[in-house]
Amino acid sequence: MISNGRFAGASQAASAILALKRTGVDAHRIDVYSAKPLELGPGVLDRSSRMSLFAVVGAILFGSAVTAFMYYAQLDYPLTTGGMPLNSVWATGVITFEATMAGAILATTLMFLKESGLVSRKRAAAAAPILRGNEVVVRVAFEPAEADLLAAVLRDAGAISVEVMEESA
Amino acid sequence: MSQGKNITASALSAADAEEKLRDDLLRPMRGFSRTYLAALGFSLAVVAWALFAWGYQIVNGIGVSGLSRPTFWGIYIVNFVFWIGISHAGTLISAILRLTDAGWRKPVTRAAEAITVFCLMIGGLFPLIHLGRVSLFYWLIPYPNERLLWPNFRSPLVWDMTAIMTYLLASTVYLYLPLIPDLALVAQRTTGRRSAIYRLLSLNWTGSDRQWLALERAMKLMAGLVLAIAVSVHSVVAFDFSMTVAPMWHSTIFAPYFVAGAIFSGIAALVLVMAALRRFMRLESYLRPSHFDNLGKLLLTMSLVWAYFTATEHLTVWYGNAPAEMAVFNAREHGGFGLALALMALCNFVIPFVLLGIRRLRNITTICIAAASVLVGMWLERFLIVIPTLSFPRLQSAWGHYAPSWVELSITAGTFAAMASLYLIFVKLCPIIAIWEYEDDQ
Repeated sequence: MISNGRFAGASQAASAILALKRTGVDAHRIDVYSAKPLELGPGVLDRSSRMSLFAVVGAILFGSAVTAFMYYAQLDYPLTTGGMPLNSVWATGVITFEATMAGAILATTLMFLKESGLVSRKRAAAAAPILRGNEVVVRVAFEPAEADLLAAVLRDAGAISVEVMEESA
Repeated sequence: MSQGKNITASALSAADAEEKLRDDLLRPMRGFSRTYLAALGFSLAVVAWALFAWGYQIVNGIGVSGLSRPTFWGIYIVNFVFWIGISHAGTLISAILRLTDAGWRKPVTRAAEAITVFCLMIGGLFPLIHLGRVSLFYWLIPYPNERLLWPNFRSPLVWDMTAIMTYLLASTVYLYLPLIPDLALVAQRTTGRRSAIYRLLSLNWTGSDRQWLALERAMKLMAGLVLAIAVSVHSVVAFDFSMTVAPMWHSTIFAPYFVAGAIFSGIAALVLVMAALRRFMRLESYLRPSHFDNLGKLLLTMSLVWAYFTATEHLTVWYGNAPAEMAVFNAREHGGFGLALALMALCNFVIPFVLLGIRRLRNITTICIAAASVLVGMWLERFLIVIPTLSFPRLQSAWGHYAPSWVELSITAGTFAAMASLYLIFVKLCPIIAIWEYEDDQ
């Protein structure tokens, strides 16, 4: 089951999240919906990210692959270079650089899609709440036995309304 | 109890204010004014004429252009460098402002990022047009031809293609990612097939904290990457010239000179696009005089940087007094290109310096005049880089004259019209001001 607590702003939502965590609700069961990015403050709902790491990995992999490909292509059909080396870092460095950057961009894009859940195979637990103005919705997934407790926590934290709904199959 | 009522009331008034803001910012997407239809119709007609001219060139061969020995690079390459330069308007400026967390950038960034994508599409066409035999373009693609010969990765032309493709990829992603929340908003406010298309394009964005966090992280990373790519792209365009041992091209400062020129012309283009949006899309409340003032100051700074580079480049050549270099130098200073050089200096330095440097004179109109003048000046600068060097090669007996034909002029006009058409269409399809970023700023 899912409970949507509707709050007037970010600070009330942050208090609600802290209160939920104090009652033992794990951070991964909580989602916060807003019409613009929220500043919830440190320690409220920290989400780890491996986007930077994957950007670096993507850059190294794609840059190396393209460099290796150029090396192979230039050996496969050696052109006359007038005594200059067939493979030269100076002459192919630009392409290596561009490929490295392209790798980082592709990896960043893929990690964005993954971490945002926009292309997740898992279906959303329920339709996203409709937001008005600065409203923030704190959504928490729970077992039926926790229903009253969590609704009370959300209300105590200043929820304008609390809505309970079934998870879609 | 009364406190609860107050919170609810203030939340409601905030909601109403945001509703009005969204409505205002989505207004340009609704309806078609007569001015809009006339502008779009005219620009599409010019594009059609340019396509006819290009078709004429494909059928009859590159001989219908003014290109002939010794000037094999004409205004196609001038336009190529010019448009790639303008493309720096968006992504680079937006990335710098994003990384420095300049709050005033928020109404400006989307307009700027769109310029980049469209200019790259247009600029990237010119090497193809310049080829004459367009069907042979695939020789640049890393795929061995019938004789199992791979492209020459040592060639700056292959560097060019790689750099431009990477920049196009980066700019498109950089434009698209922050567009996603706004596409979701448009999906909410439209119905039927239109809503379904926007929902699909927004990837079913819901506005969860995971999505916002991922978007912010991705945009920060992308801003850093895009900066590096943008600098590299125009450096590579400069390498097309400076890797050639030709008079007044073989210069070590060409790459930074080109990058500075690109940012300079990019800011000018951005100013004009913003002024047009403000005037014709009635966005006066959002594209405010302070935005123009800030961009005007940036334009003035870049004018000074450009003047410094130009003076350095010319002084070094003049002092060196190498015969081959001086032939080109004299042609630029006193010969047939003298008027173009004087106009370039007037447009790129004198006019911006006076209009933007004197605070009393600086307003939206004068900033736009300075920006238009810079665009003319920067086109002339590209012309003066490309044509004189080729017209006066080292071998004196090979000196020649170049004048563009109607085909080249038509295609050039067509690209300006294509830029206008693409922009006019984009304004009707996507919010031209990033709504969520603007709301966040409020």
